[in-house]
Amino acid sequence: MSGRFLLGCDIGGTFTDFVLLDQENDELHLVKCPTTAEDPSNGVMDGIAAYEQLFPEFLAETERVHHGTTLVINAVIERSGAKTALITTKGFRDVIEIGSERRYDVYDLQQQYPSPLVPRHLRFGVTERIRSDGMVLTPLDLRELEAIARHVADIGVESVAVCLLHSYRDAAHEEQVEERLAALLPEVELSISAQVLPEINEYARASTTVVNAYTKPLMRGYLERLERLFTEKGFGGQILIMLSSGGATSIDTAVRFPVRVIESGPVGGVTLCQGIKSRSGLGSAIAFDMGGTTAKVCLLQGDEVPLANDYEVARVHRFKRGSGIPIKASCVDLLEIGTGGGSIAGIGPLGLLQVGPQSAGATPGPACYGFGGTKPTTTDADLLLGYLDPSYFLGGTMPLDPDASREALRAHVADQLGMTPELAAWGVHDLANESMAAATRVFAAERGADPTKMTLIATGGAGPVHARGLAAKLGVGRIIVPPAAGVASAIGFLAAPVSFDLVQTHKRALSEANLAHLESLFAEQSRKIAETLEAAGGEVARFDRSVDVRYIGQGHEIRIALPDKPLAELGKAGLLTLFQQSYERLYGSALSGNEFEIVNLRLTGRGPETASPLRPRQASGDPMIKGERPAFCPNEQDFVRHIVVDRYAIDPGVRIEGPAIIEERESTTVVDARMTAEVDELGLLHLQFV
Amino acid sequence: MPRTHSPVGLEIAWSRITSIADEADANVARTAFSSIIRDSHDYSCGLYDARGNLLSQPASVAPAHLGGMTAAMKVLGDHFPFETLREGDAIVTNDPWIMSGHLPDIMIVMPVFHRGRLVAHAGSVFHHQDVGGHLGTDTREVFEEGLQIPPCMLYRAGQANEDIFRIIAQNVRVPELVINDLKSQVASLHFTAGRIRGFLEEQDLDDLESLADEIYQRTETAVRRGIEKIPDGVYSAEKLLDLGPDEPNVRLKLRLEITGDELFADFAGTGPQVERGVNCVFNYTTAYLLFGIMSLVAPFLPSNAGAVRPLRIAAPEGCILNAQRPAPVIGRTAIGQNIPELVFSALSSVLPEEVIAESGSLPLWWLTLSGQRAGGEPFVVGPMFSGGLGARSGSDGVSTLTFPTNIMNNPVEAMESESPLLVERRELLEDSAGAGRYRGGLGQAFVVRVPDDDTAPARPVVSFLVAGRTVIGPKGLFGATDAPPAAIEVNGQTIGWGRPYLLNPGDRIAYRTAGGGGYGNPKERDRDKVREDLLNGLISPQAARDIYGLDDPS
Repeated sequence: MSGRFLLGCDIGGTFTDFVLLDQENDELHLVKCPTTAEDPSNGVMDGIAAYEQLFPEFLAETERVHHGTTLVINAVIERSGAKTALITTKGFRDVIEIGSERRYDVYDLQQQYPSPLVPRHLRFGVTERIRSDGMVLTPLDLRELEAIARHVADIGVESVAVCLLHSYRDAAHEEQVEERLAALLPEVELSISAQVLPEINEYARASTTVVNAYTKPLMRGYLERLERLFTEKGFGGQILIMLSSGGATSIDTAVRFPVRVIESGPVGGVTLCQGIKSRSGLGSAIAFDMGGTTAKVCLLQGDEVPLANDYEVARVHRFKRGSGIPIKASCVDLLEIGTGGGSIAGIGPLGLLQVGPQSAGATPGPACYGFGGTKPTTTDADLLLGYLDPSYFLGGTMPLDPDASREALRAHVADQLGMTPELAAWGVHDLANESMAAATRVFAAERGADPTKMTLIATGGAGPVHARGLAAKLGVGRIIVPPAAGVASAIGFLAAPVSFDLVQTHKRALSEANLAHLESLFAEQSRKIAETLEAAGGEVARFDRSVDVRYIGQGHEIRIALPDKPLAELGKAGLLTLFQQSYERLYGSALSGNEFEIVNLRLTGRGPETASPLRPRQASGDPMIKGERPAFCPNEQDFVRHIVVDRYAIDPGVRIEGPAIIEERESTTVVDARMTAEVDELGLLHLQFV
Repeated sequence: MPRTHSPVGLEIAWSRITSIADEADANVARTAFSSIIRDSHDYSCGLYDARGNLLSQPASVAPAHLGGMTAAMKVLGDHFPFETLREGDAIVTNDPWIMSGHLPDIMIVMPVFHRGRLVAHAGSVFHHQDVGGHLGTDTREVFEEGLQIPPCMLYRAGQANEDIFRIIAQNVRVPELVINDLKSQVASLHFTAGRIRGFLEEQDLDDLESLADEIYQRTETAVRRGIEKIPDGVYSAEKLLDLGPDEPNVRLKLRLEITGDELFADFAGTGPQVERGVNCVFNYTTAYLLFGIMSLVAPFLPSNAGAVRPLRIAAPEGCILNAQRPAPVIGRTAIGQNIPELVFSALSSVLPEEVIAESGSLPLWWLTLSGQRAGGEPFVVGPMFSGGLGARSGSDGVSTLTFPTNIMNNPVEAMESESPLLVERRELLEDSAGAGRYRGGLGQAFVVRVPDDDTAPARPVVSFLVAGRTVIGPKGLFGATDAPPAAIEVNGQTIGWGRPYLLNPGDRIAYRTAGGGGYGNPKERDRDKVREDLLNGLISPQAARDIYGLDDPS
């Protein structure tokens, strides 16, 4: 169905952001409502009510709703998911508790780990065994399974995860378990590991399946309620749920695989940046988002948003790998850094300045918020440096107190280091940029990317304030700041096509691979994906095939996209060349005398591209220069006069020479003395070092 | 040119150096070949200044590797004076007395030049899959334990010394794997060197000296502050270790003397080196002593040359913690990894909040299972399974966690794909932890069966295991109970460890690691926690009633 409106809705930790695109008038309407944690659909309906003031009964004219939610990840973090049981091969029920056995901190004797989502008394082993080559050694003991089912029903389990050894190779036993349990426990949700993640490695597979099971009842309840509320408002279009991998899917699929939507929060911003990158004809770009507690970086090098396969949720230490619950599922390949507007500055054990990763969060927040925070944060430093206007934060709805910032910086940083609060503020700002740059360099090196050749696209409340410093440290020459950078995620949702992906472990040396057989496995995957997409009311516009490949004996696979032609045509020689080139690009050189091995086959199906949410816009006609104020200039190491510019009043093509500060409601962009700024016809702000 | 560093600039520069070390570490994990490197992460990287002082380490290291490499940097200059080094040189050694104490650990170090001057060294230690020699700790001399590589030039000005590669290839069981790993080790050092040069270029620095000296100074001060918090005095500990059933025990003794902000550690009274491959070289002893001290007084400080300055360490020559050539040393984990617990035990009276009870995690259970598939192809797998961490002053020990080393287990599904062996069980073991106000982490059962069907191996499978605590279990602290000892059984019969053991088709071998000791009186444990452990089958009804004093454990 086509309609006048498209609605994007992003539920975040503090705010629910809405974007309504009026396709008739090419206008974007933004709304922010507080998130209602106890039932997020209330916050969604508050936003709907706000739009109804402008466009009564607009939902009846709305074609699609793109919805992203933190419901799943919050359920895991807050432990508010369903009472869940796990069924494994007998002897392996502790797989999710034994974990990797590795410590995430070498020296910390007091380190804590997340307790398993399924406690041990709800984990059951069942007699059965399939060998690594798929042969059945011991048939499934159905009587044992039935006893488990009765017990599970008695104690009120709402959801069951099933993960049997080698099910990625042969799912027959898991299917038998599914069939029996579906018959015996019709009210209980089931998550089967071979369907959630048919990939070798029982710990990662079980952990992923358990997260899926743990959040499934909640997800079903929420999405069904939301659908009902929308229908009551006359909505006849399609609700699409954002996936962690950047696409969107139907409510049905999201309910079956909630683990695939778990990390959809940052996806909208990255999707928007990817769209900007293609529209602006950039070869590659760094999507950089900086919010209150973290910064996020994604390297956009190809035609699609880059994907990774594993990550962690609910970490005990947010930035320590290994302190959380591992998940394997397609997600945007994102770097999260513990530097945000709320990051606390102080003096570390060596007497040196430190910024983050502790964050003041929204409460008590930075000292300048006046909510009781006394410790200096990055936002306090930015305010003291003159980059933020104390009377125009969030469009002036929230006055800031620079004296509180100065006092916090003096008491916790400047006095110890023997410098003025202003210079200490620059230290905090600069160190925050350095932390982000250092992390970005490591991240880029791991991916064979060269930041100096890329354009930085900055979003998030604090992103445009820090973009200039980050770019200078990375050697990036050009910055783009999209309009409404503070709600980029919800805008980006509107650009997400329907998609679904599948993975299948199929280990074969390249020399022993049977290309016709690989073709048939891909065909089987494409059939399943087409079914899923059609259920979401879409068709498949294209398939992207890729393989995970490594040298035989290596432990780390690299993901290689296959060209869109039959494997037979490519031939093994063509595959070999492709693999070698990919390896060289990542690691500098390929190895001679070593053979490649294919480990996993991956297929992604995508619906048709959606229209860009960025529409041509015109200057507001207000005076462009709002005034001037002193702000810190890194070159001079002192405060200099900056002109203050109203972003919405800049005519396309007008060049602004730094030093300048460009303000809009949701964010502030700093243009230093060595830069110029210009707005294009889509409202994108382009910054360039002279 | 000396430069002064502002506290802000210093932190910015230092975070770059640390991130280079982390990059080096990530690079190895992605490019290495053997399972022990890539999956178990049994390697360490380190950055050294031009004089050979430890500059920085990645977040994840094995303490022994880092300690060994750092000690080696002090003597490599005697073999190859640093001023004679050229761009593209790489020095290799696995000498246990120079480096980390057993032959599988091979160190390679490469000088880094910038603006024509030596500015740093990039080094790494890999625990290689094989170095030849006997697979067992029933060795009498190091000569039986494999190929010894004295400090040699593996590359000269970028040219490989092919003779050394050929000698290594001829002496190991899996030459292709070992040579590939050595080459990826060198490639990763080139990567690290490039990063260091890039950093100096960007910061417009001629060298790292002034930056490094300031960081060492600040680290030293912080460590001294940590030591100062311990009241002056002499603190002693003693520990009896078993080498398996029917084997003589080994006695370790430690005396710690704290004077102001300095610490002197003396191992006098420790038993003599033995004719079994469990002896520790002094470097290894030092590494684990340092680990024990740092984890108590300064767990969140960076590790560098400054940290060790307030410490003095002594161990009598010829004792098992300062073994002399040609003592056998292959399984030195069995003894040396106990050293941190000696430190904890000695300081438990003055640092009761910081110390933890003894852990079933140590010593590391290092297992290799090798043989031939039915078709004749060889296989080698090294499954890893840990015991439980000791209880802490405010929380239970973590179940199945490596400590004090830091490596990762490998999936059963991967092990079964790479060998014909079947794992029948990998599960937490009820009542394996010591009880207390906080209980120890649990140990686990890892049960392997050799198939006797069409996939039965062509020859008996060799099980080589270095383990410990199979007689004396991990001790509890402050009125808690000890954990029961670990065990190894073949078809229900208890066996020892260290000697190679042959497994035939149909045999079933069960490895049971110990849990950690408890902390505090079990009767004071939160009753809800006792009931929860009972519900979860972590403790038996009998233990709940008899040890924890739960009234109604039904």
